[in-house]
Amino acid sequence: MLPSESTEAIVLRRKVVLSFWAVFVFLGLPLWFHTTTIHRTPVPLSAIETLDNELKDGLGLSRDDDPGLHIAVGVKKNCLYGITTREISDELQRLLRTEWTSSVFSLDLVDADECSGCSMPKYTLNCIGSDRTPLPKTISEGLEITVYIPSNHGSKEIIANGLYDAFVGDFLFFNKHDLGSIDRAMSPTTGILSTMYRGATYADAIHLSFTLLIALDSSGGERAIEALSPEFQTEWRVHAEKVWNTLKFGELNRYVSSITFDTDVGFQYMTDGSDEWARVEQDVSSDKLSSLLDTWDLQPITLLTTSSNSSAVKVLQFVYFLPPYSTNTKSLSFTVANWGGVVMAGDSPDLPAAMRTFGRQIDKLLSPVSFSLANGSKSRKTLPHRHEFARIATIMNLRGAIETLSALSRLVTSLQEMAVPSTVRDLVDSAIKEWHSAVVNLRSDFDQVAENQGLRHAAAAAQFARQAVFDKDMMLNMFVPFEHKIAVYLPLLGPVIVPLVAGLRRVVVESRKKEP
Amino acid sequence: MDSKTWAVFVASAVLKLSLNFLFPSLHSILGQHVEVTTSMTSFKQLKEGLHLYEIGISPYDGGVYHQAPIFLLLFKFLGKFGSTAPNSPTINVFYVFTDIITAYFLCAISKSQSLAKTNQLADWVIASIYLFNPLVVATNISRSTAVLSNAAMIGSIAYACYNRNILSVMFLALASHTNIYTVYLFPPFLLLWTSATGATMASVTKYLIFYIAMSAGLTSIGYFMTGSLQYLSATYGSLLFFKDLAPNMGLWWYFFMEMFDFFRPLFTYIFQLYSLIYVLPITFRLHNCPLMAITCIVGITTISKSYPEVGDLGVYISLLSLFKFIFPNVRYALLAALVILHSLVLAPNFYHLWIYLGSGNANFFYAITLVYTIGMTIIITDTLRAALLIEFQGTENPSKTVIQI
Repeated sequence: MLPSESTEAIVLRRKVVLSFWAVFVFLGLPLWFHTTTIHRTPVPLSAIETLDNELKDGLGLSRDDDPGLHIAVGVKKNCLYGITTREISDELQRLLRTEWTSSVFSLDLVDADECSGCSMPKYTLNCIGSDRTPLPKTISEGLEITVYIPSNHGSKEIIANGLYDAFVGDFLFFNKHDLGSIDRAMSPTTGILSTMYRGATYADAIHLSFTLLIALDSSGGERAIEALSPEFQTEWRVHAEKVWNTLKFGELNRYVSSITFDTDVGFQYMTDGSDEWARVEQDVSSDKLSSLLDTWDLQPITLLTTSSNSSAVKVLQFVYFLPPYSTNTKSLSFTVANWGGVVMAGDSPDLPAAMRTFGRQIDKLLSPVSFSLANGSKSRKTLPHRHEFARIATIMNLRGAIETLSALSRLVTSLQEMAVPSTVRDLVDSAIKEWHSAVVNLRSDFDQVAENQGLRHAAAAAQFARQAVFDKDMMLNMFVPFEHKIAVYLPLLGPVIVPLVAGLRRVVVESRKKEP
Repeated sequence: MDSKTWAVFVASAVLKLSLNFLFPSLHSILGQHVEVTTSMTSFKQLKEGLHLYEIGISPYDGGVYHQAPIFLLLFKFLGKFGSTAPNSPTINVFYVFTDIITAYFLCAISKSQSLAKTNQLADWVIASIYLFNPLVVATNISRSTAVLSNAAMIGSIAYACYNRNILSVMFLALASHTNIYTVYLFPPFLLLWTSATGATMASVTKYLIFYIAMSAGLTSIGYFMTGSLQYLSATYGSLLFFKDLAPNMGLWWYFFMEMFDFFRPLFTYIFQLYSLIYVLPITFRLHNCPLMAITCIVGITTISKSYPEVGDLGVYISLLSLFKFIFPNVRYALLAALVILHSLVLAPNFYHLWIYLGSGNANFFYAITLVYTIGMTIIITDTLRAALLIEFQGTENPSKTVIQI
């Protein structure tokens, strides 16, 4: 039998147990609730739904203000090779029925020869077959697009006053054989509108990185020795700077706030020149471009965003690769979307030609649309009717923003245990604010300043929406379901609770024993 | 102090100075060991902070320096007498002197009224246990600033034992300013301070106000040095919220390496509460022996603090040496000693395997820290049990025997 305890000892034990409980109850429990409560800041879900409906209703834009490529063309019979305008329309509407093109593009075809009393569209498509008739250097002012088609239906020549008109003609020249080309033209990944979509990824500033990549091998090729010389490298930098100067003062400057560039000289060492070069050739021919880029270890740089605002810097890389030894291989070039371009030297390095190729690649990668107009033997590049494409890019960004915000709305609604930090609310508010600014801009009279600002606001809205969805504090807490929390709390608090409860029980039992 | 005690002081000074002279790079080697120093007490970081302070940049801006600003003033003052390089004569003498002072305080405590009626070890033995303890020697040679915090804490105990309460409060405030976990000692210190006059509301309030005022004064030194109170986040914030995730001899770092961010605040608060929750109960239970309560709380914070070092164990063992009367009742001394020895030998090896050789992983080192904690827990519980047993036998009929059931 245990010896009896003194009253003092019992009181002391009671104080000890209650002091444990005091800390647990007055400090532990409040801290536990505070640190594990899921904080869900209210996100303006109804505002997001309103924007979605607004977009579906056409953003309140009138037909004239409607941003998009809307083309009405009168087609002359000589362009219809056994196909009616109705059939062409139906086919094009079928091709147009993609989610992202349907809001920015429409095409009305009218039979020009049978249009009596109707208002003729802006463009008329007139096709003339000719093998020997010399092509006119110019055509009269007007809106007639004349398409010269060789009798063997080979390459067509399109003569128009402006590139936009040439684009329309190029786009619209159709017959049964050309329906496939229209399909390709409308393809989101390879067609004309895909270049517009790339241009929609708006960046406030552009950085071009030119790299002269010299392959070295154990045989010590002459080409490498020549390329290693300071004179060659100086020449490389001079030509790169010429490209940059052209861009700096060119049309591209109207899109962006700054263009910067840098030049670098890099080396790739090939232990056995022939095998390595053969692999490089194989990669190029089989379109394994990503493996080629990985081999070169030139990191693909995506859009960099500063935290202070939504401005972004688009960085593109351009590589002039000198293979290790002379081959008869012609110069190759290719572009990689969201990365840049590559020119691989042929028999001998030709820096001016490489730079011209880079220039074309830059145009292709950065401009919403650019076309070369063949006028005799000369090629001429300008950016046609940019405001239409800027507006299209604006609306594409707005579509991207609303899709992202809608996804966020569904995420927040469906996952009730996901924390929603206040930063997400702030980003959504910013996205909505930028959205409204972009729409106001779309509804106003367009000029160069307005179109850039509209595009900036829309791109900012898309950027804010993306940041809101991928907020670090929200995403990290998505994967902690309630069952996991139990698994964490039990081993952490269980060993503490058991002696506390046992002690409290003893205190209660003792106090009850004393009461009678 | 008898001659033997002075001989021990001299011998320890010779030992430490010889070690520094014969092995000039020893401080650097030990300073890199996470078992001996942490980012909260590292001399290397102190030097960086001192350099930033001297060139006019706030040492708390870079996220490197986490120690109290008063150390910057102290070492800047020491710099007037010579170089503040870790192996310079000035720093050598200063650290040796600090350890001797700490040993002196321990000897003074053993002869105080608080322990007058108990059987005590000889002064020279108590001094030797502290000065020749390898853990304390290693901490001293590594130039950890924990040496200074421990000296202030033990000095506070010594002054409290001799009823020099104002000085005791000052030293406790200083120790708390440099090592925030010393705040946990305030309740048992209150018992010590009020042991002569009795614990009345007035006396408790008086010491509380004085302690807060002293702490505020020390905090204001930091404010005037850095121009803002932002340094509190870098010093106490880092310690309390475990901002510097680095391996050490504690239990925290492994948890925080693995857990989701969602649970991080919860774990931080729970772990801090775990050391806080024992303060009042131990103070209540050992109210008759506040010194033992202080020793127990020092032991508990040694295993539960966020950045523990092996020097904390050295101080705890030195405080235990003041309670010779409990040694006969300690049952697991050999087990605890072997467990601690085992962990102290393996810890640096497993850390080396993990970090430098890459053939181990974090589990190796964390397992040893768990073993170390088990050893410490055995010591704490065993000594606490022994103390309670002595208390029971002392107050009850001495002829009663306690039968283990």
